[in-house]
Amino acid sequence: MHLIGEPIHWVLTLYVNGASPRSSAALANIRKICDHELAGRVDLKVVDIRTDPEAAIRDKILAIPTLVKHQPAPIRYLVGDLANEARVRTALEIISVVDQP
Amino acid sequence: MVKPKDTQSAALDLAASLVRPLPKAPTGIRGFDGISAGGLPRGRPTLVAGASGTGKTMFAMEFLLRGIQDFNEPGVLFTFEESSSDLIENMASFGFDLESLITKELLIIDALHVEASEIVATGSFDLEGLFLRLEKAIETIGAKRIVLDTIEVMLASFGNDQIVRGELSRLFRWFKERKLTAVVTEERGREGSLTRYGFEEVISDCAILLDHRVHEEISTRRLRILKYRGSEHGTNEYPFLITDRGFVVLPAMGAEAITAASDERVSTGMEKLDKMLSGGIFRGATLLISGRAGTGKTTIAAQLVDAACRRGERCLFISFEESQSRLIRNMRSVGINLQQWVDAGLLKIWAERSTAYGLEEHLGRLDRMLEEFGPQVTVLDAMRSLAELGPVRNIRATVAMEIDMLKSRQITSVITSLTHRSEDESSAVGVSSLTDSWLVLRNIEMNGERSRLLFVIKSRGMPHSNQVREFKLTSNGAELIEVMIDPRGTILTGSARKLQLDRFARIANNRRAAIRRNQVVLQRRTAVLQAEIAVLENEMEAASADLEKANEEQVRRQAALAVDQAASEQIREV
Repeated sequence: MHLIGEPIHWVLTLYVNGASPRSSAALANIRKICDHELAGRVDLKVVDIRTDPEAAIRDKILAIPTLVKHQPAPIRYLVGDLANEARVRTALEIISVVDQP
Repeated sequence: MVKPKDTQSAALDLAASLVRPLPKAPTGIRGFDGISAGGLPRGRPTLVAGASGTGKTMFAMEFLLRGIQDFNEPGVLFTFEESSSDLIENMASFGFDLESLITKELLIIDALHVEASEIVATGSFDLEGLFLRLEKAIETIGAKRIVLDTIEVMLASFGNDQIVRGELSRLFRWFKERKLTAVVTEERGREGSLTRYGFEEVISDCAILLDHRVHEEISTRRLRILKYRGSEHGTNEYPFLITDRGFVVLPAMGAEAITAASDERVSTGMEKLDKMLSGGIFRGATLLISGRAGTGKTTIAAQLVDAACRRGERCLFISFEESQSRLIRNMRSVGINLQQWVDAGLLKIWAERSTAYGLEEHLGRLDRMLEEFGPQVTVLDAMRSLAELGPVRNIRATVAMEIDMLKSRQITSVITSLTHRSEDESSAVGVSSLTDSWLVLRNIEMNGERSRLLFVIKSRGMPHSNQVREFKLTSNGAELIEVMIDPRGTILTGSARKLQLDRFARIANNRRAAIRRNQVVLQRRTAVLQAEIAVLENEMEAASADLEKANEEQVRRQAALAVDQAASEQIREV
């Protein structure tokens, strides 16, 4: 999917609903990944639909929390609190990166 | 009618509907508001379920768009299937201008199609984003109606069914709190269940099932109201059409149109046929005329039309077999002038090859014509032609729909049915149960010629003659005559009938001559006897005069004798 040696950069947006338990869990789960495997190679934007409802409407986000992976392509919508770590990693294509020499 | 479910809840529903009539939001969908006693439950959610391609989107869109156009209720559409541009284009073909409604801020279309492959379920969630979006759209235009078109496909990709159930319940409650008349469409679930999650119909106030069967290229659509909390509703499966004017539920009438059967008689235009039917057929009834080619079905139908036009009624003649000009010419040859009624605007002849249109389109056009022209009498000549669209067994379903459409409008109808072979009369039998009266025409061939016979097979709700009549096509239309039956019980028609009539005439003449002869003889005899009586009377008078004279002589002599005796006794005593 990605050429070896190509510099990969992640662009992610997480939509949350204030500090609800699910939103807090999702934020914690993605922070953990961003701070480790993806450290230095990720832009994570957090949108709180309580303070910025227009953003969720504009971006057509229906389920909360949702993490959108804009980069690397293809786009993916990760719906839920990101509790299923294996699925999250697969969806973010982190495994292929770790496998690189 | 109350839906026959468990009696307790049915009773509660009925009680609720009696206490205060449930407010309803008319859909404006032709025919639907009639069977649902006024439309969908106002301010409540309705589920519309059906397999793909059954017309769910059409139903929902028409509810929304007619709500805007006819009832001044702004509406919001959330579609999870189509793009807005596709939808705008599709609805334009049914005469709806969505763009202008959007510009006027009466309609919001939100297309939210997401590829399921782009969604990854990773844990628990809620639908707060959807609620935000709904809230915003509704506030923007002050929406009263809302449609969610197949949301469940997207929800399924979110993974957690338990959460989805909870969120759907919340959504339906939310509709009620905001008093939104909502339509939620869903694909039918697998394994015969109505919905994907199996409970959407429970949390809806009204549930409608759409069905579409295509059998040998004939499409049949059916609509059924499965539940309607707190309201009466029709429980049948109603056929419906998707026509160029949109969704039409048959019999396509409002609730007010269901009227009592008429007692009024309509003349068939043939005095003797009316007599056989004890006065004609009932207004709004259906008369079936079946028979093989050339038995005169069309003529009898035309005669009835002619009589109706004479009374100033409007007639629609649907001819699947002949063009307007041929029909008029053929009927003129038997003395029926249809052209005058066409000119007077009382008769409309709709001639088309049934194969030129699909069955559904045909019914749609019929519905439109009935509405626009408003006939009191309609002829379908001949229904068998409809079968060119598919197998014979589909005639019944089609004719049933046609009869429904006509009956519900109290239109007196004549349906002719062409039968080819004798076993084909069984196909007419299948349809005949849907009709009120049934005439069978038969040509019989005897002594090298053909004659026409007419039988009244049945006539619902009236006494009718069981006799057969011969009928003739004269230059004054069809004319019924009593049939002749010879001493062996054989029906005599045509020239056999004429021969028999001649024979009868000869016999009658002979008898009259014999009677005249006998009368002369009798007169003569009478004169002779009367003369003899006169002679005998004279003799009798003479004889009695002689006898009386003789008797007087005897009395006188006896008296003289008595005097003599008395004198002689005196002498002896002295």
